[in-house]
Amino acid sequence: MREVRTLAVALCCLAIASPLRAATLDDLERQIRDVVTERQASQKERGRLVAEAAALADAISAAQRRTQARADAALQRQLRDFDRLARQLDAVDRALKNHDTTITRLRLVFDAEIDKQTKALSRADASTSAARASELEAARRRVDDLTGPTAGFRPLLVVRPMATDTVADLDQKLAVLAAELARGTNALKALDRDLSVLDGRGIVTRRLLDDLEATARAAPQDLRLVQRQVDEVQQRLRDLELQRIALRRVREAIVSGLADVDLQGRACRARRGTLAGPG
Amino acid sequence: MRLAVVACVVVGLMCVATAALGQSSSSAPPPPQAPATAWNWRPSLFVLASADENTDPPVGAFPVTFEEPSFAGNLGAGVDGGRRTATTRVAVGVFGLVRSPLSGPDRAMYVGGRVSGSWQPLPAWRFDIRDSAKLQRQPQLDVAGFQRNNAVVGVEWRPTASPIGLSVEVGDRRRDLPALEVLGFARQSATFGLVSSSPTAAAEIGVGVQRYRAPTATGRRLVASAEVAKFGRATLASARYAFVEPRSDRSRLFTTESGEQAGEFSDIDRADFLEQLAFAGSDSTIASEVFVLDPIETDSDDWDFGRRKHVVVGYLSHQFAGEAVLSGSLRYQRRNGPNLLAPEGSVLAAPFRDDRVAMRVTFRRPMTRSLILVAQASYLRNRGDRPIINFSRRLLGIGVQIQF
Repeated sequence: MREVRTLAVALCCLAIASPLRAATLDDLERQIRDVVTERQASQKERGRLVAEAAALADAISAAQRRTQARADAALQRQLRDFDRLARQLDAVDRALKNHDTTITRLRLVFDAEIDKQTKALSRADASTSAARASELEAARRRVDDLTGPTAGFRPLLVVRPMATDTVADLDQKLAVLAAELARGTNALKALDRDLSVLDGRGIVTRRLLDDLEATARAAPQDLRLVQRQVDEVQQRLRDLELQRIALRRVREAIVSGLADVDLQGRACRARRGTLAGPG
Repeated sequence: MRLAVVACVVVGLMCVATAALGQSSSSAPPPPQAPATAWNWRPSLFVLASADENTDPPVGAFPVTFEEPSFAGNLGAGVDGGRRTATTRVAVGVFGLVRSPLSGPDRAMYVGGRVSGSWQPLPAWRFDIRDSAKLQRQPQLDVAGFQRNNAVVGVEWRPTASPIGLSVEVGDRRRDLPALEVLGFARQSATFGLVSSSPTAAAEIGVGVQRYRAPTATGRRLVASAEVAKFGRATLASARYAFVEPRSDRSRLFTTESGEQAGEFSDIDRADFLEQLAFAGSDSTIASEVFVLDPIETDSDDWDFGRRKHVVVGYLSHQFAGEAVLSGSLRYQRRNGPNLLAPEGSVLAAPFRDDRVAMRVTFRRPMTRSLILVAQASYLRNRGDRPIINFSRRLLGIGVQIQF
């Protein structure tokens, strides 16, 4: 009897611990929507923090060029503020990562539930199954819209004027190029902010490494973790440098793409001017 | 010997594995390389005044009171340098000190050096090498002369994104006291560790074995340790516990060149005292970014083979606004066991117990870009069930470091 009771309690615990398994399709869609909304809020918060941190990082870089003294009070204050912002940024990045993980997990459960219900339709009444199938398809599309690809910068679309283009074709191409120019410019601004933040992180981490090396020298020699942390921070610095190099590569690609867009835009306008004639 | 061979084989296998991994990943596109930085050298001069107070019991059949000045002036010079590249880090430090340079009988010289480096050929693998050496001479007091070297080679493997890694370290520590041959030794060690770390904290547990060879004894001992550390923006704290258990100790017959047995220095308590004397020359306190003279903590109680030992070490460092740094360490150790310096079966060889507490507080404050105020206070107390080992030391030093 006791074993049965224990088993029942364990099953209840399992049921409580994994509400996803018992959730309906509507519940799952609602949960996905909620997490996506939270993710959007985190993304917005990240944008705000990056803008603030980038401005501060630029000020720190300028102050460092101005003064070589490590103990400059204003610089110290700026570094502390930047460190605080960087920690907030790390927290938001972790939250975004958690949101992505949750969305992926919910999406898998949602897809499995859709598949299960679709298979069940084959055994249901034909008159109701068609309506239910379209409901399921609509739910899938809504969730697709919610969880569509968001990350990464799509390369700029560069359209070129052709000899057979009419004025209307060229107007359409100019509109596409203008949209791509705006998208590329915005991406460039965002990248520059990210690069500024990385530069700031580099300055803070480099100072941390210098301080830690001095501390490690003064610490009792049998404390290994203090010595080891020096290498850990250096690795962090190296990772930052590699991130910076990777971002610079993306930036160069965007700058090159923007130059191409600008060139083709001028060519389109020239071609259009020729076709439309003076006046 | 067997231990050293095993350690070499382990490190060799890891090197082969690393090379194999390197080859297998060579088909992948090369990652972007962070640029190397040039060597950075920073020489320094030190001018310090120190005061010390010692309570040592008279020793031997003819007790002698060793007179030491309570106050001393110290001149020091050091240089430290470092270089970082995409996969390596090297740090080098050399430091020299003359205590009471104008007072012949009290003049003492000390030179110390340290080099540490790491190489990370792959993200999951890191090799470390550390070496520190000390050399001390006191022209008017032969027993104060000693030299010591400590070398460690280690490898750590931690898969990318894993919070836990494995480490293996092999080390060699040896020292020589020309006038007190009996206190010399050579010790090899191998340590296996499990380490976990995040940007703000780390923890490690380790087990190891040590093999030693000294003029009066040879044997092995097991070492188990646990360490935790917390890294804040301005504060760093770390604590470590270690347990040392002696295994298969064997006494050896030792006679001096004149044919005397080790009886003259057979009492480990007296040896300890003589070591204290030997290191007194470097007791003048220095808190340098280059080097911290810390003989009372790390060298004077090295010869404790054959004794069970518990050691607890704590360290705390805090950086204030204006780059002033206050740091302190506390060490407590309890030892129990026979005196392997004495001939086997003699009265002096009987087991005994002692407790040692050592504290150190250091303060550094940059006054200008090249002038730094340094101050250090330290305290050591030894208590045991033999009156002769009851002694204490207090030290206070203050001065400036001139950085170029």
